[in-house]
Amino acid sequence: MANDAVKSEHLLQVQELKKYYPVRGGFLRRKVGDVKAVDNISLELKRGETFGLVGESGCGKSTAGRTITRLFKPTAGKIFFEGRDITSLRGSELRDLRQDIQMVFQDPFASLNPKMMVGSIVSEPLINYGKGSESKLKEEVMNLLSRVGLPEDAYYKYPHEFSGGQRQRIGIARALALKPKLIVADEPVSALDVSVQSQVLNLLKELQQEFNLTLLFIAHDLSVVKHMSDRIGVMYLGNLVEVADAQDIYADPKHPYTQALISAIPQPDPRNKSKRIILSGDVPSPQNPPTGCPFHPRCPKAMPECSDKKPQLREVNRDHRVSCLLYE
Amino acid sequence: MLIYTLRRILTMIPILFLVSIVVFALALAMPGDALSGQINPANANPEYIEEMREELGLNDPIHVQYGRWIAGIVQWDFGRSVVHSRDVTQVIGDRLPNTILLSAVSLIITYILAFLMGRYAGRNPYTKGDYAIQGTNYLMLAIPSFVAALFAIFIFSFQLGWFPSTGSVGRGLEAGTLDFWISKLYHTFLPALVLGALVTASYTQFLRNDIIESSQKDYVRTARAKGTSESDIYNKHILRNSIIPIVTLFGFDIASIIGGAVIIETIFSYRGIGELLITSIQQRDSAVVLAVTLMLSVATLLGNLLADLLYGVIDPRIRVE
Repeated sequence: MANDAVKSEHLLQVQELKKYYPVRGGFLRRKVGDVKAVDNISLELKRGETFGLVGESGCGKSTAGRTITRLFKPTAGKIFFEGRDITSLRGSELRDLRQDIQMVFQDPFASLNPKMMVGSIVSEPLINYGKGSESKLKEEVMNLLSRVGLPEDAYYKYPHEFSGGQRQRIGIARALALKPKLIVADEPVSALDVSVQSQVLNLLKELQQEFNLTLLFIAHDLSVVKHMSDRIGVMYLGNLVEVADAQDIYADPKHPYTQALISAIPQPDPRNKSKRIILSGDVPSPQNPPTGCPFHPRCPKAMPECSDKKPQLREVNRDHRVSCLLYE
Repeated sequence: MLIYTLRRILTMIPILFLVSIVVFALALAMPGDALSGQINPANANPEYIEEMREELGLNDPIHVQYGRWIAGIVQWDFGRSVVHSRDVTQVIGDRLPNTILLSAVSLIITYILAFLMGRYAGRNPYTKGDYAIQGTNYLMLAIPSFVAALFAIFIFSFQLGWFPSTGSVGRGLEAGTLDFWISKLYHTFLPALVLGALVTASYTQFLRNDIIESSQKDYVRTARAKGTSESDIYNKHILRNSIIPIVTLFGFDIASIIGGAVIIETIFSYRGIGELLITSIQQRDSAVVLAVTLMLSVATLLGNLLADLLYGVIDPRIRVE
């Protein structure tokens, strides 16, 4: 699997990844079913690119991100990082891997330990891997803090003394400390005010250039994803339904779900009225997903065979893949 | 922090005032009064009794009596014990070190037990070990202290002969020598074990639940993502946060430790404040009863103060105030 071509082009490869959560019920807490949070996703990340993963809440995008960083153990499928199979790494090997894959978490209020100084939060990853002597460590952390736009005295402060945007900068500095190759940013700005969002997004973009990062950017806000991403994957109910270049997917969405999503982006010009596609019904329960295409109960273009046959992701245009029976 | 401490201490003054009124009222409500102990019991002449009542100030209005009592306390004069024929301060002073030793040892036992059990149960929740710990805890919580004390005496003193069943120090030992202190600790251990083990349950449960809760917090996930080892995650990120409710509990628990000590000391004939309180009540030694009750109330208040201040030391977010 680990041939040289793969190694040079793709930093990360995910193949048919599945993550199920067991559902237990009854007196003996026996397993009675699964929540299929991630039901089958395959994707590749090229070095230095930003891949945006979008979908509504509950579609499994955060679970996908955390499974890829191996904070969760995948139920099935394979994950390759730099050509190496990391699907079932454990213990110290897994810890070593974390030097290369870091995460920026969604909630900057909960994801920082309230009882640690910012300096300790940012330097902890370095200490964990025995990097840098004590005096150098502090200098490095100071540099990181100023690089993400925080004052140097932030070192001796506690997280609660900062605003949401500043906390997210702390989270970013922490993620950068180990100079990782891949950063998985799980809705890094969804908890922030709109005015602060763009600052943090631009900071991420700058840092990506500067540190030559590959970014897996998870979000539910399509305009944010468009601003950030080179390529975009759309998720629905644990499945990847469409993958394409960012420009392409906005200009020519193929999957009916993507079309509906993109039609829902608010237009800045009120005269420019686009036709909104309103989806009926709710997202089905991932514990009991529909047969066939997971989207067929809500799909405006559903055909009879959609309820039997599960479509696979296939290429319809160059670098544009869709999983929909309309294109088969 | 200094201002916080001062403010916290200032708020105790009105509380102390109210507590003193309650304690005084309770003493008035007790059957009998200080009179019975302070006159010649052989002389039943009503005139003599009336004269003594007048002389001792027992015929004065209540607020005057209260004023006299509180004025004495402010000058560190708690009155005289009729049973012991000594100043109350001396009587209490004799007993206090024993009770402090008992409470301290029992607290240490509680903390050691709760820390070990809570940490294990919190790290391995919903396992057999966890259920075993919880079962043991609730059993200990359910057993009344006097029953547990009797069983402990029966098993450890009479059957196994490991510990003495009564007293607070061996006979014929000179105070201050090393042997004296070892004997004291030896006598203290069994009552302290009973006192400490019975309140362990709440500490263990607090620690366990807090560890479980903290281990699901986002920042623990963050720590895992930045490559912190599991033991560091538990010791640095989780335990430091989870220890706080336990520290606070200790302050509030001082009241229940003292309450427990009253019973345990009586059963073990351990010469401490609790045993003094019980015997004084039986002998209508009201000056001692008043002083001990007031002292226990103050100890509870101080415990809460201590808990609040310790909380500030551990939790930096409070320290900033």
